[in-house]
Amino acid sequence: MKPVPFDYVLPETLDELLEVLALGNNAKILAGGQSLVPMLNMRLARPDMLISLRRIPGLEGIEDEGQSLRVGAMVVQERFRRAVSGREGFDALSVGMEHIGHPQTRSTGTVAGSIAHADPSSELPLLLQVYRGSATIMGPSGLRNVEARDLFLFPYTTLIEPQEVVVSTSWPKPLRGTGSAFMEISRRRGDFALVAVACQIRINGERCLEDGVLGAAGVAGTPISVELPSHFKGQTLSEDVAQYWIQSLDPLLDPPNDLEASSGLRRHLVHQLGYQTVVEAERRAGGNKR
Amino acid sequence: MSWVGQSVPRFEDGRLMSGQGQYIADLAPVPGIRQAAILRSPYAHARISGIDMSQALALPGVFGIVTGADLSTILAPFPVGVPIPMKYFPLAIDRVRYVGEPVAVIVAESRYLAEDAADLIRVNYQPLPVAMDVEASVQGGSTWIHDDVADNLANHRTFRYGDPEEALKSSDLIVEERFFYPRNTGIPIETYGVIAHYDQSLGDYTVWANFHGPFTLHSVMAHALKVTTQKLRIKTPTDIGGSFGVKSAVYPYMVLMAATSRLLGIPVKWVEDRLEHMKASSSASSRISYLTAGFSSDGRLRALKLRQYDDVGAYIRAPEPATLYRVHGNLTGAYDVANVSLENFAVLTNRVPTGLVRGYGGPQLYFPLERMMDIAARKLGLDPADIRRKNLIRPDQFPYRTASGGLYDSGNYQQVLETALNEAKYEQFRSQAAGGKGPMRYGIGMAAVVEPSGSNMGYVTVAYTPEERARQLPKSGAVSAATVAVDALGGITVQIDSAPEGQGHETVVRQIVADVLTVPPETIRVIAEMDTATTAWTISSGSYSSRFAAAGASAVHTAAVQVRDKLLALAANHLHTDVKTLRFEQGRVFHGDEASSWTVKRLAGLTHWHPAGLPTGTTPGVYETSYFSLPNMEPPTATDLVNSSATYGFLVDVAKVAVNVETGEIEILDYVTVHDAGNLLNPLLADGQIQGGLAFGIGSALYETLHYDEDGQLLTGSLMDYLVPTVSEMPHSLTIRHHHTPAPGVPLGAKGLGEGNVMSAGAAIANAVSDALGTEVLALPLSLRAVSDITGKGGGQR
Amino acid sequence: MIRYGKDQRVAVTLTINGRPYRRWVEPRMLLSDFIRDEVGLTGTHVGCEHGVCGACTVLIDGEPARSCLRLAVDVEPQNVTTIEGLAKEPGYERVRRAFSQNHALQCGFCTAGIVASVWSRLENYEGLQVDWDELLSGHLCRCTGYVGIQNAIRDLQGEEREQ
Repeated sequence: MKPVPFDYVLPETLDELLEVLALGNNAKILAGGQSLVPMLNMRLARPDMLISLRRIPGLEGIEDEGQSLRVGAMVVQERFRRAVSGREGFDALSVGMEHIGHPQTRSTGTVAGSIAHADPSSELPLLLQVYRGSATIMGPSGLRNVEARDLFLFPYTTLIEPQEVVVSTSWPKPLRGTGSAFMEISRRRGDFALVAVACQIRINGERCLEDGVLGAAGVAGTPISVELPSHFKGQTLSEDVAQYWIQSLDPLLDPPNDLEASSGLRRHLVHQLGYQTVVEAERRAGGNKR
Repeated sequence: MSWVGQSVPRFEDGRLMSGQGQYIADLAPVPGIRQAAILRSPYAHARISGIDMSQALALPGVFGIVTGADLSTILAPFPVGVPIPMKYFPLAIDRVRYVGEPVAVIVAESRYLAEDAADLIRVNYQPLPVAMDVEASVQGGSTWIHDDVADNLANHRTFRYGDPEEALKSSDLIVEERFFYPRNTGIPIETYGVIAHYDQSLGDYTVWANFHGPFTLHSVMAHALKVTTQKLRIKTPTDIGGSFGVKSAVYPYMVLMAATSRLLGIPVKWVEDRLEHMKASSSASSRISYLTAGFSSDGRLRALKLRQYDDVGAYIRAPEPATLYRVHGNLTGAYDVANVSLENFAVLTNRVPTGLVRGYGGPQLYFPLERMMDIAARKLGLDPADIRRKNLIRPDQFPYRTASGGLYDSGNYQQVLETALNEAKYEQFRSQAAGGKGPMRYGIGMAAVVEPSGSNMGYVTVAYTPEERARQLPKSGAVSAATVAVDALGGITVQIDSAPEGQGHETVVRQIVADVLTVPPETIRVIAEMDTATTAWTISSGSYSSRFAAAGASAVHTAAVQVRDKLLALAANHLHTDVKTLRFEQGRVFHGDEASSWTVKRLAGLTHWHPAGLPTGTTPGVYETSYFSLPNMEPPTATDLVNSSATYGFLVDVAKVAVNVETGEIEILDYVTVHDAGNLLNPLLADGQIQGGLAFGIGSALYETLHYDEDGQLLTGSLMDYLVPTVSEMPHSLTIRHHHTPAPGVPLGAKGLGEGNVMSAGAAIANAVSDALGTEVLALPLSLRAVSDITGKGGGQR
Repeated sequence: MIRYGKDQRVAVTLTINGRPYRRWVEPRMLLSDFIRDEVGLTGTHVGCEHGVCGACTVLIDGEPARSCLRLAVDVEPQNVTTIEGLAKEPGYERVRRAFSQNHALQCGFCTAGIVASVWSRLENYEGLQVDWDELLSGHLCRCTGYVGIQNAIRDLQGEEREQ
């Protein structure tokens, strides 16, 4: 299990990076490599060129931009997890990130790398959607911002073009009154999700729903998410409201059928976990304020 | 104070905790070693019509490539354990029969380059239909994997003990079920590794490999290489990174690399990678068991009828079909039942060949057997504990001869069962846990397992009919050898033959010898690495069938006693007294209450420095080898009775589980295991074996399966998909208790105990889950999907 | 911009256990192979080469990481610590003792990785909550059933509290 030979390129600026990407080679970008290197070792990925981001300045920061946190492309998952842990409204994010692999891979795997890799059962793409985040992508025509809900196309496929690179991801800070929750079923601790569900809910002083996002991973070719239906705004979270909201995910479900769980079981698990997650998010929204 | 029986921390730990272990991948025992990679079949069954190596051979850094055609010029097929016309070579000759079967060996300057070259080899395959279903094969419905092996049937035998038909007829309750135990495997964290060097001038092979029983298959390998055994020297490294039986199947690769070294004229090293290991090393046999049992209305087991189908993979490989026979003597488990019928099928399929995996043959037997007891209990309205109480062999029945010829040497099964039930607070759980809460259902289950250790070499021949056996030389025995030597300055060295892979034998051997010679354990050196040219030759040596505690330790003990006796005789001669008045204490000879000036060092020194002064009949030097043979190890009889193991321990497990019926998740809340393995040589290490064995058992119960699709592709071929439990999957609480009924035929009274929980845990957990769900679990592992199929959540299959 | 061709051997200098090692290797060489085959520190073991088993775990700038999932060339200029380096640390003896007394290792093949992970949380980790089972879940051990390892960790934590 050794990688095929490849050129190794170490650009020192983003411009240099774009220059190399523009060559149109069969190139792969190496950020943390925790998904890429296993595929290299198995020779499932056979790039002609590997482009490491490690020398490019400015990709290492976690910046508080007031409304959101901007996370540079080389920020590793474990560092981001520690940065958001305990922060208001970021419960789903910090809990969700505990489910990514193990501390030994989170020490190296990057936030942006996981987003760009777009494994349909991984946690960060789902979380970016549920937090209404976005990816900032640089390409030949400059920077563009792509909302998470538009980013993921198919398994392992995003809107990011071969000559582009994610330079940062942006994680809007939930407004006051927001609670969030994340739940996952996997076979072993640290495995990819059979089903993961994340939810954020904002309520007012009367515990009436103002806003919310509910999403799931492992149940379609991409993470899926739905907004709180507008007609529920102003209502409190009853069981009916929760169930209706969860069922609004159904048209988006296209769950795989594999050795560990049938499609039917995954559908069932979305509903099971979905309900618990919504209730927990709402409970936390309450708990934060009083 | 005696060292044996103490929880002595291991001497091995110092080097292993400092990164100074010496494993096969770390070694470079001869200069000029080159690296090998293996090109493997992507098809489960195909004809090879051509191999184009031109591009690969042109790659700079490549030394050569060996194919089946090259190999067949110097190799003979491996001998196998059954009389069928099947040719097994370590490399496919013109046809591949499982995904991962070796097709070519590439030797290059580095493993990287060897893999590059493998990518450049073009093989023309013509895919053939596959045979994946053992029952379909036996019924004549499958393609034949080997042209001359009809219906892929490698072994078929029937056995009858007592009068099972009559006993079934007169039974009040008949339990009839079909059980499935899956293919799973050991996953040692260190993979296979081989270094081979062929001496062109002498025609001698030297092979280094992490094989923990090199003598057992020494003759098989020599036969394949067409040399006599003295021309094949096998060495094992000091450290082996786990095996759990699996590394016994490294032997085809040892022959493959030996032949490659000869054909290419250079020493070669091959370190298996994990994907190769998953796909193509070895596996436990899966088993379909049709079990029929007859019970009287009060719960007495009257008769047992078993029909077993083992999937042995694409080649039946020594020592298979022994999965079917290793437990032949303890086929009836812990229960007193005289009427047994058995029909065994070993069937070839287009999967990786099977072999030893910890528990060998045990979980395949005990999963159906122990589930059967619970099913019968439920049907009879009895508590699972009560039905076992009624049927356990009683203490006054030992030594107990089983229907199939096993001789259970000692035990008190009732005591172990009651301890387990008490520790688990069984009655309390039974009275409290009715029903469940929300989606949670709670259940408790047990398994009672007779754990065989120290295999009788003769049991393997039960695969032959008595008539076939009568035409062969008889095989029997469970022998181990050890040498204790003392040098001129009193330095003590012990050579053992168990090639341990983490069990701590180096430490236990020190404890044993320290007791006999009354010296501190740290003054003893233990050589655990083996060399077939210098280690005492014993066909049955090595680490398998939990044989060290009974066999290996006994050989060490008896060799140390020989040394002691020689030294005491010398002392008696010098002190002009009878040897009976002397004894060793603190490494010094005592005469009555008086310490003499004769120490181990001085006495041994005499034999080296001053042999002329030795009494007549005393040989110079102190170098005592003991061959120890475990008792009651006869060959199988003409009526197929065999005592398949030298000694039999016993254990009862009680598992408490919580099953989430909505998600299918199973949590093991509490686990109790109570063992009687006779005297424990080192309780710290004994518990380590139990804990490790239990982790295996839990893996097999809930997680692990080598799952193939209908085309014979392995779907769980990486550690992402083949789910080895991590710490988070272990029980929330674990209680281990011991009873100590000594093994009567063993000097130190110890029995093996490392495999019992592999045999018990699947059954205990399945019994607990069946209890929780009120249905009968008939297959493992209990994945979420399997549980949801039972509960119907998620609409079953879709 | 540095660009190395696939057929080129490049000079890679890595600091391992405080010493610089300069070797000419292909860009594709894994850190695990660099440590073992180029430098000869065979205490780091390779178990799966796809990041699951954890045997090859080393410390990179003090954090545990899979050496099979890093390219050696890409590790410059970080500091690598292997078990050979840990074994020379003054505080290591208590780890060795805790592991041995609790029979936290059998075959020893996974041990170097586990020790690296454990060490990372023992040293310079004051004030941070450690989920030990989560940390340990990043390692497969096939021998011990993890019980001895958990007990060793419990002993080490006990000692820390006493200090």
